[in-house]
Amino acid sequence: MTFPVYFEVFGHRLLAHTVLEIIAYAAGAQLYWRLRRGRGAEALGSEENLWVIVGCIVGAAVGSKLLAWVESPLNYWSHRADPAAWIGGKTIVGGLLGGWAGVEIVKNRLRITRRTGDLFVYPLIVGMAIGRIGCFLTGLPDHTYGLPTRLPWGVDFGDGVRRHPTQLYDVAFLIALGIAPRAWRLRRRAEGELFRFFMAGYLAWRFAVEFIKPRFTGYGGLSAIQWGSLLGAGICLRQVFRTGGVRGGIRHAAAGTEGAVAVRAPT
Amino acid sequence: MQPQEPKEPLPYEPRPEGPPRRLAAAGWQFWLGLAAGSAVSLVIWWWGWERFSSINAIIAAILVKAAAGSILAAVPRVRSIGAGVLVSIAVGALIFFSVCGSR
Repeated sequence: MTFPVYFEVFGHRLLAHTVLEIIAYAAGAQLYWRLRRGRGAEALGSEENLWVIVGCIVGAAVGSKLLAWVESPLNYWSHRADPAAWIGGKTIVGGLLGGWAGVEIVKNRLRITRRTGDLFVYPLIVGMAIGRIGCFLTGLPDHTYGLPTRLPWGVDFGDGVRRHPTQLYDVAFLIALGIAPRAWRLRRRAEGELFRFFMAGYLAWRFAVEFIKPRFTGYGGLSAIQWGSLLGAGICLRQVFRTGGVRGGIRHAAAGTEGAVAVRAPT
Repeated sequence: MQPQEPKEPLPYEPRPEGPPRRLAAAGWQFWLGLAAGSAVSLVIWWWGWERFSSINAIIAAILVKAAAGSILAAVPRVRSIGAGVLVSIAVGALIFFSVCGSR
């Protein structure tokens, strides 16, 4: 395989990353609407939901760019005269945190008190997993590869150096994260806890996996993505513990019951 | 003229309560604007980005979408289309004109 991978579509040579990203967003959106329809009357009203999605998209775009700039300030500064460089980068962690912040801002302005994140969890998992395959197929220009390794599954992205395929590690982790709530009987927990479980899990994973990626560690020995991951995971865990979610979930899993809504501690 | 017999009410089920019609229309307008704006990004990416390797097409797209979205958003009847077009700037930035690495 030669990296970066291009697809031939109707005579056009298209970068695999963008093609897979289009598929990822389309699949995520389809799954989201399907899940939302399944909720029926439980779902948020159409207009409120619309603004939540607007907050999510705009927040994700802003967050993904901002964290990308903070992650590699020296590289961006050295290309400060090139607008393509400023537009070109993005990070999933920034997108998740920005999207979450955007939704919370919208909910605050519209005085929506319900938790809305649970419906986003599986669409995010599907979309991110597909998108990460695009990152893998892009190879070195994507800058999401890992450090050199002698492990047998190390991948040569075209420069003769075998590296950790951290994009595929991400895919594997996302699949596990998608299966875990079912295995741990977390599917029908209190509103919003599935989202917090997902965010805390993924951000904790990203904090760890960044150690085997080349990164700028000018922020107290950690990268900006790692600080962002720590912050986001910390907020999620704090919220889950404040509502008694983790203890309640463990208790219910031990008792073999699924629905933990009734015993949710008052907030 | 013969006297009309009183008609029996038709056996229709009452309409399920949903959002008011105006809001539903606003929703469709928003998605229309978002789809149109995203399609512009797709076309520019398809025809311009790879071919010209230039930032000009992207900057032009952002400016055109910002201007069109702002104008539409200022007209009450099509405000939601304008909002959709403006949000499509973010969609374009996320999907078409960047890769995941931060450098």
